[in-house]
Amino acid sequence: MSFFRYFLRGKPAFRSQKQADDILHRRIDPSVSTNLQQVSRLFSGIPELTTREISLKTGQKAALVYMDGLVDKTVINTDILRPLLYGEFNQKDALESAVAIGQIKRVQKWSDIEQALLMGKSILFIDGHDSALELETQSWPERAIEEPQAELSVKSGAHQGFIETAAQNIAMIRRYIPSRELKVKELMVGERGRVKIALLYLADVVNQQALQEVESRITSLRVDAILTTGQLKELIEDNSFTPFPQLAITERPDTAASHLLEGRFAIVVDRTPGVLIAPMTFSAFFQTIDDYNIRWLAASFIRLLHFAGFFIAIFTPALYIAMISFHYEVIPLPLLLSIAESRERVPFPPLVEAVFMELVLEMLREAGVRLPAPIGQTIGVVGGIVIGQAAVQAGLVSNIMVIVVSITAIASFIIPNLQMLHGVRLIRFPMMLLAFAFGIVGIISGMMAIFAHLLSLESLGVPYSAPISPLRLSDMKDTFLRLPMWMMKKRPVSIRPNQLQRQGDRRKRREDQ
Amino acid sequence: MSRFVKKEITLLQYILAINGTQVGTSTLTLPAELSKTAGTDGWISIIIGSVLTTIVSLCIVHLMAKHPGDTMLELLTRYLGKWLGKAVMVIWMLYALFAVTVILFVTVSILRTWVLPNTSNYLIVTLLMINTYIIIRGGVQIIGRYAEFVFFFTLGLPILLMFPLKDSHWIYLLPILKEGWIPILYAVKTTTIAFLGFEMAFLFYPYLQNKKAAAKGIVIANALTLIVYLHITLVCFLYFSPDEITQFLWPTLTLVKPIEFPFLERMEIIFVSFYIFLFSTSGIPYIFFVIDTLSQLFNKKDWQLPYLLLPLFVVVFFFLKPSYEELELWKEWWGWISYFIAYAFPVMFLFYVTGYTHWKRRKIDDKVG
Repeated sequence: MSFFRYFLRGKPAFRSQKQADDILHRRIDPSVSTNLQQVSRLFSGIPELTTREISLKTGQKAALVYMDGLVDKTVINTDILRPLLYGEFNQKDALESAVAIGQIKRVQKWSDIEQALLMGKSILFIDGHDSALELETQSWPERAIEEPQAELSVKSGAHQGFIETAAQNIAMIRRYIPSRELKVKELMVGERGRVKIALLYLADVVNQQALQEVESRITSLRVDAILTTGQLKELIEDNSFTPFPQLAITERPDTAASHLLEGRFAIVVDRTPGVLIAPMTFSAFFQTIDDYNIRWLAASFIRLLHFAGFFIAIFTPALYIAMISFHYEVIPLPLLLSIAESRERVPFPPLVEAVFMELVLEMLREAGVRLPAPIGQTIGVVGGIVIGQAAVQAGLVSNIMVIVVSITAIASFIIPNLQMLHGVRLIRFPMMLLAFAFGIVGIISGMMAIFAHLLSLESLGVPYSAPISPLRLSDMKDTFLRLPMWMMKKRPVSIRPNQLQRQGDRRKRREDQ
Repeated sequence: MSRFVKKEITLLQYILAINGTQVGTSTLTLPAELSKTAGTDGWISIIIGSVLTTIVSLCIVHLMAKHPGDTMLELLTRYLGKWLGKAVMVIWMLYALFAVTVILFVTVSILRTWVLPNTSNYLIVTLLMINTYIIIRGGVQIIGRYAEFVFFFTLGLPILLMFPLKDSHWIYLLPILKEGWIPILYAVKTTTIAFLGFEMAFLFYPYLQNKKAAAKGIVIANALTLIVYLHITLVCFLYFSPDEITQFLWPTLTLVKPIEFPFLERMEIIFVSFYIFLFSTSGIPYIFFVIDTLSQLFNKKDWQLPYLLLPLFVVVFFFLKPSYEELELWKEWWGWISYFIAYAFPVMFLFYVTGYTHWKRRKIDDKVG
């Protein structure tokens, strides 16, 4: 057995974690060379580990250890090595005064040193000291701030998007809310790939219960690593067996800021540009920050379009199947005749036809997403011409079906949230099956199941279906419609924020002047 | 607070849940049934029936208010002792079971008659039971939210019923009291079945957030039901001639039949499909009542076994295929049973409880004195 284990895993650096723990729990030795030995044992098989031994002016030996590639070389050269080699420093706080960088920490435990090195920090050992210095020298390739492709702002909103560095993302949010009340709670998650998760909230506004709930859920996580926000989302959400997202992911700081101001909190995960927003309600997925950037009448109209898109995308193919195979008596004769004419040569039953076409649509969409933009357009052309015309002419599908599919596609594209869109795409298929088996009764009971399911969902203790049911009348100003900004004097009640009032009476103030 | 009561419902949910339980399959048949006994004066019977129901509902609220937070079983055992209380509860459970069976059979028969003539009973019930499971698993809170949602979602249906009013004849209603009060009072019997569902106040009361508003809430719920029934009955009476209406089994559906668009005919098919929402809110509280009572009787929390009732319904529908006449008979039985259980029992029990507490207090007073 042990042979196989050896064969599979290779020779371990330590025979067991126990031996590593033995080193990790040891104290730091005053002698630099023993320390360096320990480091090289801990980091055996990791060639990036670089050690630079220097002799200080005082004659002491010192050693700087860092991981090549994770550190900023110029900082190490100009701000650490140069002052150490040539500079003057006090004997009293020799170590601290030696280096010229912002953050210095004294560490005494090997486990801290191990973590610090892996994070890209540098460690400075000096002879005669039983502690080491942890120097903030991290640097990693960083993307420039761009507009997120998935959440484009077309209505002259901000064009900044989050990047892969948590500190930058938090700074971007803080630029929108430069308030003392914007607090950040930092949590570390992951046994192997430790990742910093920052919980951002407005201390006097946030729904405290939900905040405590999410904090306890995050701290109780025992995972290897969290690579994307989606993983974290799935680990902490209330109900996994649902097509509907209960937490939102955004890549836009203005969206995050507006959610924070409404009493939600944002979860910034280091190394991913997606920021989690919670607690969410169903209707909040149909709001976008752009709604507040255009006139309220147009915004209300677009809101209604979004909701209509949700229903049309789910029910149109199902309705087509139900009408063709069950309730043709509902369609008036002239219309029925023209539908029958177009279906005359189609060899498939309506369900097969519809499922086939919807699957083709999904494939086209997936193909378009995966391919780079120039080739993606080709897919559009192929799909449009081949499916749109050739299939009809060949008598494989009916004209009406092509129309149904395109309506579904367009309707689903106007749903502003990607995760909600994915849910809608999935629900369509069971709906088609129900319509095929039970006609309109199947559609209605499917609708009932969706509603019942939505009503029973919760997002971190907040009813998912609010403000529709439980009814919150004051939130209705910003649910199906988007009434003028001055009317929204209260934050959304559905999220149960700590502090409701968000603006004063503009009219009154104006009259006073 | 009782350990069975977990999550609360708002006043609006309480009102609409009770209203939803009341408004069900009767909406389709009530006008025809009324016109058979009371002619076009049937709408007066509805008002009388509603007053009667409101009085009994207030009795229920008064009873429950004696020990707010107690479930029905706890209240019964408090006054009737452990065994008699449980026995009464079992009778109530059987009553609810019978009620939901009738509601389900009527729903399925309506759906089969109007929409799905070739689909088997048990398949339709399977569909309904899946939805029922999703809702009752969430307890009273989700039932309340569902009722609230369905009420607003189906608000369009009564508006649709206004369309035929353009061909209405107010003369049909006249003369009022053409045959005296006797047929009207006789027709109250029919309306009381339509108002059944108020007894679910026993179920919903312990969950109500603001218990002081319970009496107000149940009056509003009954008034809402009254408005729904009056609206439907009056529209039917105004549109159909007094003789014509007795010919129909489901006059409300015949009412929407003439509505046509260039792209849509046979409106009633879509209409009746949306009525499934209303049927569901009237059946689900009864099913939940049965399941909840079972777990209370056996004193088990979060008991999964009673949910087997739902697949059991499917089995029942597989074997039992009653004719329309049999269904009518069952409905009549339900009506008769309800007089004793839903109408008489709360009033009697209130008298008993009042007398009991009075007697007990006197006894204590005597001892002290």
